[in-house]
Amino acid sequence: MEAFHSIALGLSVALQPINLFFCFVGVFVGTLIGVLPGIGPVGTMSLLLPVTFHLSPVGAIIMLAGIYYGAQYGGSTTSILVNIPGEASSIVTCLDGYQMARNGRAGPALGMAALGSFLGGSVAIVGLTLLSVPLAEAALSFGPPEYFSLMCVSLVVLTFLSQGSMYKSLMMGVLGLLLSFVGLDMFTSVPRFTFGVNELSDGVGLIPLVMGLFGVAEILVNLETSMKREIYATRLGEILPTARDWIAAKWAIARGTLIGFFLGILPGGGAVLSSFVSYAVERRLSRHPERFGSGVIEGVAGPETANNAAAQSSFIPLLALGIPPNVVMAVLFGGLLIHGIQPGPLVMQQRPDLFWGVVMSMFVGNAMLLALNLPLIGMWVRLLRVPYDVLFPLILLFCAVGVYSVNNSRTDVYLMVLFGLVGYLMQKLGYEPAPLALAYVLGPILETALRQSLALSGGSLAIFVTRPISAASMLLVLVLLSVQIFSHRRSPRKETT
Amino acid sequence: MSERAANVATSAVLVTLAAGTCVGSWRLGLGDVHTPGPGFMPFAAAALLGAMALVQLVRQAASPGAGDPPSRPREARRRGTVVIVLATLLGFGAAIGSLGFTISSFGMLLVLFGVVARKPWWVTLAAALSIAVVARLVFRALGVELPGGPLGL
Repeated sequence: MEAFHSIALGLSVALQPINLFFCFVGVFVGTLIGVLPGIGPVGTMSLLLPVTFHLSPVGAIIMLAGIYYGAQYGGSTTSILVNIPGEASSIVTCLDGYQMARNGRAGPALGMAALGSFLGGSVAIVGLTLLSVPLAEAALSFGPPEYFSLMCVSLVVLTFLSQGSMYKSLMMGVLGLLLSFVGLDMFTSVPRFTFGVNELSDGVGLIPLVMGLFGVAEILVNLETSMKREIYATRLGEILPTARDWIAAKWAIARGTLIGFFLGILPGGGAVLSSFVSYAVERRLSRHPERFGSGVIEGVAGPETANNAAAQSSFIPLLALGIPPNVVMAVLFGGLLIHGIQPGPLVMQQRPDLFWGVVMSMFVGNAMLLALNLPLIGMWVRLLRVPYDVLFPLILLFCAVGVYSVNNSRTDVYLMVLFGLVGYLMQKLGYEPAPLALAYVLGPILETALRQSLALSGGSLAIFVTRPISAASMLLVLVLLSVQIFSHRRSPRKETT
Repeated sequence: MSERAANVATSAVLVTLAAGTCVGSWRLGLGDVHTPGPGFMPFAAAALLGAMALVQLVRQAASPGAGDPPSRPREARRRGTVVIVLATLLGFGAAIGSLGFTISSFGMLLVLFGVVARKPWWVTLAAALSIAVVARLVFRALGVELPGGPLGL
């Protein structure tokens, strides 16, 4: 009965005209940046954070969330029509989606991507609704040791699931932790590594960091590659998949939903990993794996369903535990803090309107996305014809203004430039920026939890192994690290390069 | 620069950074396990980073290199583009407080369209001017406060 009451509350919030407007803006902007290669949801959300200062917290979070899951829809369009993934989570969609377009079946590929995303996203929202409440109730009994251990698990799993070298990811995670320690010490108010710069007293800002690492760096890399676009035309009447397509894709959609939902919850999982795993699973289970890459609809349906399911389920650890599982959620974490809301299990009790309003807005947003992506596909295709050398100055201008306007600080712009250079070099040298950014967000929580735990135990580290949840988490950390070290020893050259 | 040389250089930078952070953390005060000081966590993290980077440095230095690939004019031009974009952003950051949003963004767009994107001068001028003005109006409508500079723009 309480669940129905919560859902009714959420719907009453999500269906308010102003929140419907913010939801529409979010999914529209999300689709737009998904379609346009060169700027992702992380950069866009960071860019729009200052704009949300003037909005209600509910409207702001509804809009920012819409950008994230909207980008998953839009990302498939460029993968299928241009063979350039609009988002990292749509990279595998290029393999079969683009081939389908070359075979004259761009319409069904786009349609299946949108419908699969809708189905996967909707099921994941149901899972989010059902799982968040018990998880948040369990989290209320967590103390600092449990939070410290969970953070350790998050950091290790993050590097474990990284796309590139685990060793390099782990190093970037530790570097992110180091950056998070810049600023006044929370317990003693002693300035740490501020070098006399007043603006650094509050630490390195999250927005300059992510805008530099993910916005500016991405543009610098894109400027080095020629982005020739050959767009395959499709008639709008051919958008809907045929009955044969549905029969071929039904299990790919079902599996994609499950894979996306569970990988979305894991730290470091999210939309990108789930799309890759889904594609690999479909190929392995197929009776004709050799046909993958030549334009099979399962190769589009599975990954596109999975990435959207993951985008929705990654809200679970953020909203129920207060732990962002990926960089996008870290930006949302920052957004909630800016609005005076501490993400975690208490949100559900203290701000049920926000929690349930955001969750229910995702249903509304998914329906909007279906309408935006099927009948309006022609509009997005026309947008693809805008040359990149017209787009990038605009994106850079918005990055610079977005960073500056947070604190009206030129130091933040300089920091963005610095992290832009760092991010560019990291991409060139095979280091992933995601572990750095996520560890940066988790760092202060990790340090607070550690110091509070030690204060509770009188300085005994045994507190982390005598409490069941903490002990289990630490055991998991040990197992994961052992696996990592073992695989590192077996293939040392691969890991270090 | 070869991949091996790049990895060696990166590892060396990380080792130096970690060593510097360890020294800085020590000066801040490590405290003890009962009451960790402000330098405790940075020291632990820097020590871990330093150790990992050192292992990578030794491995890379010991591995046989493939030799440096010859430098190409196109790569030099690409690096030039990166430097110009970053310098333009720095210039924007330095100018916005004193010149205001519209003038500094106009200047930034002039460089990006004209020098980096290599658009004709009249396209550059028209695009930079119109985007700077429209962006000003949009940000004002969104309630984002930006400096106006001496001309109030």
